Amino acid sequence: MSSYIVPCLFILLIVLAAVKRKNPYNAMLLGAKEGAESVIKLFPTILVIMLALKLMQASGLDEDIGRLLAPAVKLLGIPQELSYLVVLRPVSGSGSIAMLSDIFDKYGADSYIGRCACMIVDGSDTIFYMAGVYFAHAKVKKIWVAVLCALVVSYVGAALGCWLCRFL
Amino acid sequence: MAGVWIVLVIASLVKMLFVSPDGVLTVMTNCVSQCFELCLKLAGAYCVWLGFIEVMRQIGALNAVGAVLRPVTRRLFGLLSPKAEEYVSVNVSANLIGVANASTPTAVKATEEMGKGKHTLTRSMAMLFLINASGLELLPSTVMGMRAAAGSSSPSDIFLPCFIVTVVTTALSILFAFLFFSPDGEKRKKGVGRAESVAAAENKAGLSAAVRNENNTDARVAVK
Repeated sequence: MSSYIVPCLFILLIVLAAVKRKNPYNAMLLGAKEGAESVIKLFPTILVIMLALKLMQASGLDEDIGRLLAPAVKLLGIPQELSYLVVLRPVSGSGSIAMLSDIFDKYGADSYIGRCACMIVDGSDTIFYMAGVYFAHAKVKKIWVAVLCALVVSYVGAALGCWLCRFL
Repeated sequence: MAGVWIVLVIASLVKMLFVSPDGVLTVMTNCVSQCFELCLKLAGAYCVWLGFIEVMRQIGALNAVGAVLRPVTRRLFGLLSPKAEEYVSVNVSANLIGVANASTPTAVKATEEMGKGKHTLTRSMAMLFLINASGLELLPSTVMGMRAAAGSSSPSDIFLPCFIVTVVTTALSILFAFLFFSPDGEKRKKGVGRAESVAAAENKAGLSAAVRNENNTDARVAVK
């Protein structure tokens, strides 16, 4: 069902443009130019954030944080085995997908732990990258407050998800 | 953010000193190439979706989407510049129909528009970030696909808990944005910044009165 959305949207758009006698070709060009410029402007920000996160993963600091947080994670009602995933989730999108796949292999996709892992991966996003990318162009203060709020929200979501998985 | 970054980098580097001092340079140089890869992927989404949005703007569909979502966006984000409002409405609709690729470029553009001339994070910017960061999606397609691949007996049985979690986290995001951020971005302090916050409140009241007037005129036009 969801795989039909994108092609249908594009067909609808181009047909509408033709009916309205506008030139979709030129408009696409304009948008693509804007997109390329945005990404070039974002590059340094993403690089600097990525550097810190990659160093963290290479040094094993993220696993240490996971171990350190394990009791707190347990307190939230999230299985202790998933404490590293909780730390990894806001840091790396591809990393947490890979980790989810490992968890499925280890515990099974239908196990309680596997289902809880789904809740953690699905109910959140790569908060640190997003903060960098969203606020790269806007030179504003107090970004950390927003990041903190986002983290709290994702932990509440994870705790709630794990609790719901017990009986849903 | 700079503080967090410095602490993380120093802690990681100190740990690398003991674990693998030779690895540091490799990690850093690999990181640059990985960053290029990520940016190329991002560029795909950006160019396609900003192109799509530009076509929408030229045929007037953007105005239509904005008008449909205006009751929601006005309530959540307050008064925005027309351009920011367009991007916000596309972002919200992209999230709702599950085109996650389109949500980042539009949110970045909207934040850029909202941040013009501001020095502190405003409520509207925080709202957009928080709503997107809580993973607003109606159908957990990625996770369901992975469960199917891993041989789950019913991959879609996580839909209900996922949906409940999404509703709760989105509500909480909106609540946090209202609690911790003020509309103009200035800090709300009891006592100290009283004059400013009163002025801001009056300003806001004036704005909402203006909105009400506008709505009234709309209504009157409709009656006529």
